[in-house]
Amino acid sequence: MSLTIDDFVQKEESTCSYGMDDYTTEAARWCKGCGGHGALGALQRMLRDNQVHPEEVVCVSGIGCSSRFPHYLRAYGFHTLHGRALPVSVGVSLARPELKLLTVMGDGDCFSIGGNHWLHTLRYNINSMVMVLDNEIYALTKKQVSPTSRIGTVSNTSPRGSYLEPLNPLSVALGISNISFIAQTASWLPGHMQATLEKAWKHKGLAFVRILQRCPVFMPNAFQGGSVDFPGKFLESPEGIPVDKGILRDAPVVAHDPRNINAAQAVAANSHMEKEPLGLIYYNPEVPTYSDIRYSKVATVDRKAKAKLLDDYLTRYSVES
Amino acid sequence: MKEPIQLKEHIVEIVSDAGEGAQKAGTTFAELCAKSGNGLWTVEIIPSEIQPPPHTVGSASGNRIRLSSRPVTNGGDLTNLVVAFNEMALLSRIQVGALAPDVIVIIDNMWATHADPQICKQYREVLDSLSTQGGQVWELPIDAACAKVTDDSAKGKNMFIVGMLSCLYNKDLEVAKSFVRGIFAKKPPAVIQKNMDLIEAGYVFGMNHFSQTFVVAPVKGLPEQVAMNGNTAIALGSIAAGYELCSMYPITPATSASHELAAFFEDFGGLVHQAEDEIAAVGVAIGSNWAGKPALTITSGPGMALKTEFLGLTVMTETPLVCVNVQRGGPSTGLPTKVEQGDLLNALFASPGDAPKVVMAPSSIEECYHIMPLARKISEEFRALVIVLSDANLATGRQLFARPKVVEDMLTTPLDLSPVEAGAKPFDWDLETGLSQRILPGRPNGMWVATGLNHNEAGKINYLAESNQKGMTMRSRKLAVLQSTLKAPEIFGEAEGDLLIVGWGSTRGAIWEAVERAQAEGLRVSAMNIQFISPLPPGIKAAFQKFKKVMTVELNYCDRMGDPYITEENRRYAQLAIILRANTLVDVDCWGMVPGRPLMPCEVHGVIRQEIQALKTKKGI
Amino acid sequence: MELQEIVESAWSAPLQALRNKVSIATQNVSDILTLEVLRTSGHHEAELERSLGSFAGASLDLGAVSKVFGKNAKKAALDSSTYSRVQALHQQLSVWNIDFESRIPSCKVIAISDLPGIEKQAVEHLNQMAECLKLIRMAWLERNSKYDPAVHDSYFADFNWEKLTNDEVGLCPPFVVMIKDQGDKNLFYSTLLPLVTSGLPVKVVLEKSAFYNTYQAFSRSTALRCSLEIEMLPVALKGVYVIQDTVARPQAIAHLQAGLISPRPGLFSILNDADSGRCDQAVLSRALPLFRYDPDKSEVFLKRFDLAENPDLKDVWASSTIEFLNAAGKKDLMQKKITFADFAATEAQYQSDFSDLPANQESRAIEISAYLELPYADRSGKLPFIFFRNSQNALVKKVPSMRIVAQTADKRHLWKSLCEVSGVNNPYLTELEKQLRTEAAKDKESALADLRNDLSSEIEALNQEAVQQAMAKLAGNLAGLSALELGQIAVAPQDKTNPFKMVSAPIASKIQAPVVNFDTPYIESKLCTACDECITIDPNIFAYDSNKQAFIKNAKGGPYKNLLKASKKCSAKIIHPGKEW
Repeated sequence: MSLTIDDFVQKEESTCSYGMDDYTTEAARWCKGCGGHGALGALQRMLRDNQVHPEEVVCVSGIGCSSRFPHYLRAYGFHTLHGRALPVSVGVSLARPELKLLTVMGDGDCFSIGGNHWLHTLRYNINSMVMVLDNEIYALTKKQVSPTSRIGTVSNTSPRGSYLEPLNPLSVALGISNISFIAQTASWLPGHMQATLEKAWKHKGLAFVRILQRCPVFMPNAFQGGSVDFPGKFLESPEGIPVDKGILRDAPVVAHDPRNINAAQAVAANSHMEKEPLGLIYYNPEVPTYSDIRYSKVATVDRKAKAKLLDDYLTRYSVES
Repeated sequence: MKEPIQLKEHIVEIVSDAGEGAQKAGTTFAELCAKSGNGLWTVEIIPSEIQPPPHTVGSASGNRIRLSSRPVTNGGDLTNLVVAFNEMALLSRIQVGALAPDVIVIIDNMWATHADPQICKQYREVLDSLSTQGGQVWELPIDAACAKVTDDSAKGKNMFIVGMLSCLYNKDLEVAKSFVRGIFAKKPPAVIQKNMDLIEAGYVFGMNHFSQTFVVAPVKGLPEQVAMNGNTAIALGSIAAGYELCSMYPITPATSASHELAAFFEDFGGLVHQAEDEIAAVGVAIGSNWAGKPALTITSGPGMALKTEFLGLTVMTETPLVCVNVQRGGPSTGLPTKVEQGDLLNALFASPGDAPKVVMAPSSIEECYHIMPLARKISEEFRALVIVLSDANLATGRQLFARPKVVEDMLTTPLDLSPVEAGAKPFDWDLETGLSQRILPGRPNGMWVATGLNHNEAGKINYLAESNQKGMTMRSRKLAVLQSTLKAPEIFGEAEGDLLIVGWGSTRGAIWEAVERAQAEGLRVSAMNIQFISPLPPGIKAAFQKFKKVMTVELNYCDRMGDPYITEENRRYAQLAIILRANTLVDVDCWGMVPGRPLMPCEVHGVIRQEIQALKTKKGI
Repeated sequence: MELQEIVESAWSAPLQALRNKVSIATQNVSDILTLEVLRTSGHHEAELERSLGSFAGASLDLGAVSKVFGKNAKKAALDSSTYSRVQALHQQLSVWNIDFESRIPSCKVIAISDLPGIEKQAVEHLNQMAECLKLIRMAWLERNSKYDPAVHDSYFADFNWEKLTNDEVGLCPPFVVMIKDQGDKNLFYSTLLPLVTSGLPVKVVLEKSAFYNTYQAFSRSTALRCSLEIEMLPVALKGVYVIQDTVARPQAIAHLQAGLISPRPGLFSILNDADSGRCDQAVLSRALPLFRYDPDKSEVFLKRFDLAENPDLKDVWASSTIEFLNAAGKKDLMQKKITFADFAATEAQYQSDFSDLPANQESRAIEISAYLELPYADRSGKLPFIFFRNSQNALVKKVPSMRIVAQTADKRHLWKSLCEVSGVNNPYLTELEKQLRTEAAKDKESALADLRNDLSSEIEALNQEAVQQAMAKLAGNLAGLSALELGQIAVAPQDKTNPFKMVSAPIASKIQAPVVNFDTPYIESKLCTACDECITIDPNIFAYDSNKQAFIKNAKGGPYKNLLKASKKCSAKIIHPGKEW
């Protein structure tokens, strides 16, 4: 793709040198062992490596453990309501398309109470990286079964084991029109996670990244405890995310074409049954963003012209007596 | 033909089956009257379904036009003249008690000889009962005459009726034709010609059939006027206020404001975002405002209920937001197309915890326009949630008012991305006023996180008692400060007397007209309209104390004394009355009803007479 | 549509985007100035009256409002030098904003004689465009409070088009000159070549309408003459963007657009004829081979040169089915190859070059496409002809003049050469393909042998691993670690599912685990998830590095048992506790 005038305008001439501290407000207050620490660290490293201005980053979150994310990231942030991060992100992206938007949610937040917003925002394809930190449990409210909990999960609302098969967020997302980016990574794979976030960050459109993580307190055994035995398989493709197996002992690498929606759907559909796919599952950078679509139709009018135009409009309602 | 009768005003209705064209005929005739200088208020008569079964009471659809020789502030009393396409449409108007006892009814006589004997029978019954009650019935071969001009009389009848009414009210035929030509300007010439023929035929029909005609003189000496409904006024007012985003979800009767915006907002650099639900609609508006692009959301009662949690977040994060609620009947789905003022307490109090906010109510269509820039300014300067309570009466009614002056300065403040001084805080409350500066994302050095959790001046989450107390105080203080800048509300009439009627919102026109009549009768009654309900304006308690009795008149439910089980202790008051009682400790009485239509001045007038009579009786004892 | 309009329409979308940016930039800068006024005086009563209107005045005491707002009114946010800089920028942008359309030159149609000296105009144009882009960029920096005089003043001071990157040049409305092709080859050598090789991104549109004779009327039938072919230009001038197309093809607009935004000089040869049938025939007959040469598309010449949109790409001549009336007067169809001669027969200027095939010559007659495939030696005595559909729609045989035959031969030769350079029928590739096929068969066999070898080395490796494990266990016992933990830390992660495949190299390099030196404790920091476990256990031993990943800052900062505990608790199992001291 050739350079757009927006790219040109936003190009930086100044040299800055941001370090990790420039993206850190305070020590994160998540439990030790929590995957949130890893996700935050990977994001901060990615921002540092790309020398992103902290004031141009906006991190919107919902409610839940993961949604404390913006408080620990030195950037602008909006810690919204349970399930409602995405509408606020849509508002920010419509208001200020030039800001670098990041939306962080948990599995209950995004897939359950925020399900409707999730589906529709995927369809809007707003320009935002959307991270879902999925630990298969409601943690902040103290251990209730979540939409992604495996069947049989013992929780405070399902003490005899949960009753339903989990929701497959990857398959659902792939069923939405205008989907442009889906990737999956895991919090115990720092290298892969950072590479995934980087790829997502550079995507123009909604980059949906599901980050698998365990909850050391309420769901320590999610995803085999995030251990060397985690059954993952890496998706490899030339424009995909570089394979970085990290600690994994038993993770095959398979060729996958992320531009092929049918291949992506096959990978997603099997994710729970065999091995969790890691890497870029679907990618279509050609899908236009919602703000690009909308603003291509919106006139540029300065204050004077606007006042004049409104006055002209009022004439339509005028009554000469 | 006799000399036309000169009238000060007349209320005329056109009713038909839904989709038969009475609405089009009504709006066209109303516009024509507006153009010819009459004071005007129109009310839509809308069935709840899109295509209800025809020739039934539930199918009645049309327009009610109050024509006057002076400026009009409300829909007025009972209807003086009805053009009915069939007897069931007419019956529906009789059933809701909309017609004056001496109403003139112009009705198509084809039903008298209809093939279905049942129809003939009910036609006759309806008309007979009307005549016995004093109504005049003009049975005329409208459809037959119309069919001579067009193949499809059902489609062409609307313009035929416009022609007929133009004759009846002595409007100039050529003016009428050129006006209608303007409406159809974009249609093919054949269509325009057909409509011209229909108008002319209707006019001639009137000349041949009407034994009596009327003249309602135009209003003289007003500045240039515009005619629009309240939702259009809100839409245009939003543009005047500098809004650039309207985030909404379809709901009656609010949606037409967004239709209006959707039609031309993009030309103004703005856009309408139809969100996936009511919750998202407000969330998008909050996100946009927080990021620095002024956005509003427009909804009705059920939508307000859904938005409640987000509205609390707005208050907590001190994100400016204007939320317009075009009220309709409730609870639940209630009366979706009909007027009620039932959302006042919801607007004031619905929220998790205490969420102080500004609540304002426009009392006319003109105010629907002007209130938007003010609401936007207050929301931004006070970093506050402003709820604007309009209603179905304003939304669908149409009024003439002075053409607003468009001022560039009324537009919103441009995006401020100037660097933030080191150490600046997002809630750097001025301890006296609670006001603080907004820090928009993108401003260098200003990084902060908005959160619905309690936070300190720096926006950091804080669970300490004094921090929570302080935050609550600061958010509440802003209302007191706003209150200190408000003027005491105008009193319509003498500043002291027997009775003070207090109203809010769209009922002002009817109340003031009723009060004016009562004053003319020598009754010591005055009226007050409350525009700011939160915070309440200063001086109302003092004003109340100058009257023997204060009562609210509202279009919402209240228990009536004398009804079974109702006592002083358990009586549920009308909503404004509850607020006024709580805030002034004055024993404010109330009169409210929920008929699903606007108040009529005659009803309020009746209440005034009754109350003053009661006061006198009481005094006598 | 005029060709000029077509060229301009190809650029209209980016031009509109630029126009919009100028408006927005002007607005942004004007907003900064408006803001400054509002900051300092927006709360004044008179200002409030204006901005709120009489309606608000009826409900609010604007004096009181002014006092409230004034209490915390901000002072001016901009220092005087910034303010005047923004003001100056606003002035410059306003001029652009009002004047934009007239400042963007339209596509220039010029006579050949005007070409010399055009470079100077081109440079002026480019610099003006660079100025426009510069102002837009400055406005954006000002809007975001990112204009730093220390950095930007000097950067923007002498900003001209040479400071633009290639991509950025593509954003400038192009400098286009349009010349009518008069068949004058001097034009190429004397004027166009210097222009397109000047290093300026000038776009030359060569408007073609006629096909000129390149041979004398009585040429020999063999094509010996050396003529300059625009199609072969990329071979000589590999840095020029070259297109040949016709206005009849809708794709041409997109190709032109791509060419116009290229930072390269461009030469666009466009056949312009309102008769789209003639355009189609010119393409079909190889009279006008379609091609695009994009110098930036690839490192590989073959990929830069794109011939793909021509009909029947793999054949020397394209085929077409023509409808005619046969001897019986009925409609009939015939599939035939369309040669340059077939095209020439329909061109007015070549009418005299065709004669009817005399009846007595039938025995020597041969279709021209077949004729040209014959070796020279076999051609003598043969008479090439074409099938020509006459005005009665009957097929007749026509004999072209020798110069037409020569030109047809020349076009055939050109087409074959083009195919070669674009890789369509490259003889070397064909040969290579054949070779590869034979080699592939051989490879299969050797691959099997390799697999067998791999298997034996794998067995070897497994043996070694067993020894290593035994050693580790021994060491572990000495260090007091259980066998279970050892399983997690001491065994080399290897892919067990596929015994033939070792761990891939990049990962192996990151994991230094098996080479355990149990004496010194260490953390595989790259794999740390920063989960805070070890840091919480003993902040005197563990700390985060500059990547916020844990390392052992002082192994002896705390008791050894803390090292062990952290190693056990570490969710990533990357802490190697070493030997107790």
